Amino acid sequence: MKSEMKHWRAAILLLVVCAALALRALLQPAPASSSVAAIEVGDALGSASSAGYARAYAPRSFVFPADHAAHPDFRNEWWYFTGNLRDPAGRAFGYQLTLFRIAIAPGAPAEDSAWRTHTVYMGHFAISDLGAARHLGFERYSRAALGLAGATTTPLAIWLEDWRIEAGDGANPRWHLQAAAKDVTLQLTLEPVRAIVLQGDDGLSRKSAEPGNASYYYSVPRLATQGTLTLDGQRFAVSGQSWLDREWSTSALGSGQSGWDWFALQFDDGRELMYYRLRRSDGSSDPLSAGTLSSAAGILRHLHSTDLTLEARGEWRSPYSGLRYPAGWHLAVPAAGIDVQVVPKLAEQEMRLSVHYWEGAVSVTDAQGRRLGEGYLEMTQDGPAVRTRWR
Amino acid sequence: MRLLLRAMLRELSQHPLLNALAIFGIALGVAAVLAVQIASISARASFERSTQTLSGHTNYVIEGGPAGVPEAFYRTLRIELGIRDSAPVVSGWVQLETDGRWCELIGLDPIAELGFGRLRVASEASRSFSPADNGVWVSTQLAHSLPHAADGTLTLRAAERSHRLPLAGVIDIPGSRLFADIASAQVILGRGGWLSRIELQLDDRQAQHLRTQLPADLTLRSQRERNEQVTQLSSAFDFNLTSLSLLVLLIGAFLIFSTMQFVVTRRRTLYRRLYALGVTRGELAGLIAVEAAILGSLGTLLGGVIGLWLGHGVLPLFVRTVDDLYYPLATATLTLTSVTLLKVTLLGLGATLLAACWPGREALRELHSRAPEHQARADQRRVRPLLLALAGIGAALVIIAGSRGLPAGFLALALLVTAAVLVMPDALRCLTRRLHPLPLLRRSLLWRLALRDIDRHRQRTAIAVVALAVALGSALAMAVMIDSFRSGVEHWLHQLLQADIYVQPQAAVGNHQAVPLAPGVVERLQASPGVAAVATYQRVETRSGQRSVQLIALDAPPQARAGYQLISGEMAAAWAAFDHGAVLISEPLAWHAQLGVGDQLTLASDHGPLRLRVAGIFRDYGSEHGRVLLARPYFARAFADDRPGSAGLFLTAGTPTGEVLGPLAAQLSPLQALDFRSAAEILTASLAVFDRTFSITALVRVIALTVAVAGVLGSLLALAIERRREFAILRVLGLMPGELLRLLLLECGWLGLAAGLLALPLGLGMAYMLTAVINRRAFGWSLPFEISAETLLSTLLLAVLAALLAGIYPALQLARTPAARTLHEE
Repeated sequence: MKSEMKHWRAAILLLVVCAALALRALLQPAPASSSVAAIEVGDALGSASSAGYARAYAPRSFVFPADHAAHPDFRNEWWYFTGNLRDPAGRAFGYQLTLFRIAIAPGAPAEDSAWRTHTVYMGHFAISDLGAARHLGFERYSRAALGLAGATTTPLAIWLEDWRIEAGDGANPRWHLQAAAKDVTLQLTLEPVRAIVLQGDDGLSRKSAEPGNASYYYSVPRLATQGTLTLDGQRFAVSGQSWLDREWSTSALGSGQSGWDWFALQFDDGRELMYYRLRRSDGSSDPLSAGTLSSAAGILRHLHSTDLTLEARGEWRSPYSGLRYPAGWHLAVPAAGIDVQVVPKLAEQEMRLSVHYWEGAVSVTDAQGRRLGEGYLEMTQDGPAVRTRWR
Repeated sequence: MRLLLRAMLRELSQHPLLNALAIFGIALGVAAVLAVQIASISARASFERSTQTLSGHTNYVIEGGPAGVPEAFYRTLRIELGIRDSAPVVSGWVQLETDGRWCELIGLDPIAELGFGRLRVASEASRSFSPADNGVWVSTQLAHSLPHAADGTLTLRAAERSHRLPLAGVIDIPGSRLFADIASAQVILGRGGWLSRIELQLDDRQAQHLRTQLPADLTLRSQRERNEQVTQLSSAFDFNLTSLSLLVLLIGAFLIFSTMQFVVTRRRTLYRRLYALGVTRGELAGLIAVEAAILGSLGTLLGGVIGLWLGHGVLPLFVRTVDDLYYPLATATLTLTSVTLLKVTLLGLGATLLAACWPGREALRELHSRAPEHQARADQRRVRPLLLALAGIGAALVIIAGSRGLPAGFLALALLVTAAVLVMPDALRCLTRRLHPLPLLRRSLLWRLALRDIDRHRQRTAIAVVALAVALGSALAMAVMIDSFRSGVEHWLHQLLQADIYVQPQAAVGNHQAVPLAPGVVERLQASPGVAAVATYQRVETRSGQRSVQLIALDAPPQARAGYQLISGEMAAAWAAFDHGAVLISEPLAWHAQLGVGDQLTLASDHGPLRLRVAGIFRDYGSEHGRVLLARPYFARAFADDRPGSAGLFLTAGTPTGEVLGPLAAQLSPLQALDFRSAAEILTASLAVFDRTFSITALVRVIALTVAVAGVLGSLLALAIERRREFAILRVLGLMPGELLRLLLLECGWLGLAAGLLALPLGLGMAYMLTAVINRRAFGWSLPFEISAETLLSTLLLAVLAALLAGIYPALQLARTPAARTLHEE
């Protein structure tokens, strides 16, 4: 009796073991599809080698309006518009519209498919709704194929889908900007009130000691701006002042440089100041940091790091990205009688896109807080942003 | 209760062979169900897994006609319609030059993919997926099976051209797939200007809005719908196989039934004693249930193991069939869900417990009565099964008349089989009684003994006979159905393949891509000496509503038209209407879409929906989803690509094929690599696919028969054990061991023959149901009904052989046992 029970038990046990073994052998884990990550922007934009592209070695003679259009021999290029706007009731806004051209391989591609291209466009669009203390940032990418994105010379236009930058006639033309995302639509007309400023050495802006680590860089520091901004269905007639930065390069930032702070200030007395401070990995300023101060009459003064003092005031930590940015700046150019505070009109103007950086409207005041002007400020941390903009 | 359990276990262990057979029966039933389930679920899951990973976060698709979506629409979509979460896809099949394997090449725009999160470059050595890179990336699975090219390139063949491309890297995605930038994919696949589809991420409101804005030639549907449409292609096939495996389980349940009845019958005395001692009815019922549960669990467990093993073996066969006939599925990894396991376990245990119910109830009912008079009582209640059977047949007829669905068809079939099973014991009794008066048999003592035995034990033997009859009947039905099907297909192909020679581009062989005949080929064919007429065909996949349909652009001389056998519509009128833009549709399409002559059919074309009048319905076994014939000029108006894909040559009377073929091949070879085939060769190849398709069904048939033989063996063993004393007395009375053996084999042989005789009407009835109802409902086509005397005779022969085979062992055992010992033991 006992032994028979054992037989049964043994038989059952054997079956269970067999089944378990068979199951283990046959049940293969399904591939974990949830872990599949997106293609990184860096992946899609291809290798970082600068071989095969033109480089900025020496000053060149600029020809306008031709140089407002794209320079496809260089790897990177951008049309960078920022500005401070107001509606008739006094509600203040800041805006940024930037189209980046990024070459992902040198030379012209084969012409065997309408999709074939070596160029990708990236767009950044932001509105700082200062009255409502909010900042909206958007990003777009597209390959420059099929008319989805691209740049033409005549008529002069740069577009990324329905984000468009168009220029009128003339060497220093009027610009039309158009961008829409989600519940924001911006349409602006920009009339230059200043001549084109060639930055650096007649437009050659050296970013590191190594030859070729430079860009061609010019600005239109003040453009009278008007247009409409639609926010959540509410239409604002806006006017104010914009700043255009144009830059193209193949390789700019050198090793040991970790980021920068860029100032574009428009003083109420008619002067404009552009200064970029290249920050080194150890936190110090790179001696190649540079800028210009232009007077109302259009007289240029080049600024070097020794010409001015620049101190960060306080710190703002982004609750979203965790990145830390200076909460304000003290900027002084003693020789020009400038001693100002540069204060963000809103602390949270961080662009949290495929790259993270701070870009926003700022007030320029004296030590007592009296208004002297306004402008735009960009602050980057070490990271992909550096590579995208300055690579 | 412990004591009861021990008593029961002891009983169980006393007849290991009998119990083993019962377990084996259940196990095979469970195994068959599990194997079929595993194969179909794995195939489906593999397909879904790979499409799901590939669809990533996208949930909607924009599709066009057969040519696809014009690429310019993508710009409209993004800029004018403002739909930014959208990605263009160009896909198609390419052949690896190294081993001739076909893989799907998928062309994507890496920039549009940003944020869709569906491609991950797998290894460090891989280059990043960038638009400027004109290489190809391979899926992980493909990377493992790829021979290493020394120069890091991969050569692909597509659209009749070879492309040597740099191997750029590996992408972590299931299936055998290749990836390339969309521009490269367009070039490789020869799809300049077109996208295969646009995939999107939309919420329902956006989708609704977008639908209203799409041009007429494009449609928007959800990824789910699209994938379902693909997997539904094979659902009739899956369903048929599952039903077959359930049949095996049913036969397995018969085995349990007979074993349990034996066990319970033997224990009548024990139960009655236990009852007298105070064990309650409930406890006894529990005891029987536990016993059944043990047999059931063991059977299910064993069945699970066998099923996994079988499923593993069947899977490639299944994948091959699905790939041949339904949707691309290069490989499938075995997938086993806990739901499948649970379902199969419940099925195995449930069938066992259900099978044990009836004998258990009988035993409990007899607790009060003094003598086992169930035989008489069973006779009294004979009317009831007859009535039930009639009710079943009536219900089945009502269901058949009142429905069109496949499940209802199977329900009717099940009802009819159940009805047949109910009347079978009576039919068996009638058969046996008919034999009594036969003078030839009356003279033989052994025959008389045998007949009486059978009659006396018919309660016991009936189950075995019914099980065998059902198994044989199913096997017969399957054989008749497949024979009918095959002869239908053969006849249809004979009729259809009217041309002497068929020509298609070599690159189109294998059906993975549509390759047009090169320009000038058709003209040269027409101008060739000895060629009387040329028919051209172009096949495209399109949709009618949610249904996939093959549309064939036909340019057919009268010789070719004669090949289409119209089953509705008058020949001359139908072809006259065809020449004016009406269509001929295949029988399955007419059935599924409920279309008749004169009705309107709407098809998706490259220029919006195309409304066409149906002029005739032709017989067709080529596609269960439906085919549509449209005259070439009308096709050209609605579709972007109207280049014919193949041609049929009709030679002038008396011209030998060989005489034309050689010069023709030589003349055309500079134009295109062409494949010439005679109608006979196509027929042979098609029938080979047909036979491969039914090889799985053959396996299920073998399992059903094995289970049935095991069932007979079990029943006979049980009978032999019961009748030991009876035979001992016969021996004592002077029956020689040889005579006893003969007696037993006579009984077995008769049982087998009876089962065979019962199986014939059952099998033919089932075959009729399968061909006229099930096939019609599953695939939409009607089949001829072909019965060969050979199939019928072999069924009878198989029945007798199976019974004799099953009877030999118990008979030998009985004959060998010394009579005195048996009597003494008793």
